[in-house]
Amino acid sequence: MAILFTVLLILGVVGTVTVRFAGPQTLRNELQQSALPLAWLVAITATAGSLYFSEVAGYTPCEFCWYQRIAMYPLVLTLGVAVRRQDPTVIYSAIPLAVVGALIALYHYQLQLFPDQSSLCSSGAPCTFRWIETFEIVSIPLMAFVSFSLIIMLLLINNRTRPVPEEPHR
Amino acid sequence: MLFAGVIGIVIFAIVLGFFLSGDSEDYSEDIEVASVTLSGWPLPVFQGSPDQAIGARAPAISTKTTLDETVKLNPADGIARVIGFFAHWCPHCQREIPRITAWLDENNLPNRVEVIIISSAVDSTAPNYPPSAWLRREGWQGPILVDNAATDIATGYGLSGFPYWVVLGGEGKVITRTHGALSDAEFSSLVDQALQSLTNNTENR
Repeated sequence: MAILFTVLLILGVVGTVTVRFAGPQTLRNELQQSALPLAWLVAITATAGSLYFSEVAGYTPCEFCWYQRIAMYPLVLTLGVAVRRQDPTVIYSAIPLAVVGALIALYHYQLQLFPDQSSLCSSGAPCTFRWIETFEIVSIPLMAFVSFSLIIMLLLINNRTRPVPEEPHR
Repeated sequence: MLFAGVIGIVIFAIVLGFFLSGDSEDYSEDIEVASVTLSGWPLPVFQGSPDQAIGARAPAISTKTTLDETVKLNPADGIARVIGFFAHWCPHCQREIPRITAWLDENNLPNRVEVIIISSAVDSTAPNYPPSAWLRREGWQGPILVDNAATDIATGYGLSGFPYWVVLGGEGKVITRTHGALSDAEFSSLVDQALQSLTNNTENR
């Protein structure tokens, strides 16, 4: 399952960047129209993935895993409501949340890369612990960082979320 | 159209993932954890200096080794002990064990001083399982005592993190405790303190 989540993320990032910057106009337009639902789908998949790893695979979430969950799980609700209501203001709440989550995930990932920042493993679930290691570099925090980054990217290119500037009154 | 296509790919991938996810290899845990009994008051959790457990009598332990041999460890039997608690998944423990085994190979332990390894917090889903294989692979020659699944021995000795060392004098009282990776000099110091406790006891008689 870890490999499949990783491959999905890679396809998502590569696909989004390729279509946005090098794809035909029709595909770019379709991406812009679908970006908000796609961001919601990324949040759902990331949430489902984190629950699979903890509740099915049995991996214990550490402190930083919980902080990342706090940033990701509300995005499922806020982006879902925004998709339903076509709410252009979701960008103001979702992007800060995703940025915070991305920064925490990045910090968590470097803790795994450089565990000697501490000389001690906590007796519970240490955050230096690499429960999965796909292709020898991809761990859960790195997948979380890419998920948050993909959500940010999609929200920024979604033209339906940009508030339409008001025309000046005459 | 694009969104529907992406939805389809994601659903297909997840379904495929569930079908391809095989059961993890089933390791027997009979020799990695055991039923344990502690007799006596538990030590307070180690929180650095000043250590409230200094001078306190450590609880006696009844457990098994990874070879399924019953061990009854009475701390007050006149033997000073340097007891190390290790978790197989802890990267600091993984770096510590080869240093300890190398030190023991190069240095003779004084008489009536023992170094004991206790494997605790065993997790069959975590890397570097099983701990018995890991410790043998790293050259540990002595017995490996095992904790139970609830880590009662570690808790009873006040563990707050891995790796964790408790030095007991011959009368079973705590001489010192420490946690985290140790240098060779620091480990030597633990052995010296254990030996010193025996000397002090002899002089006081």
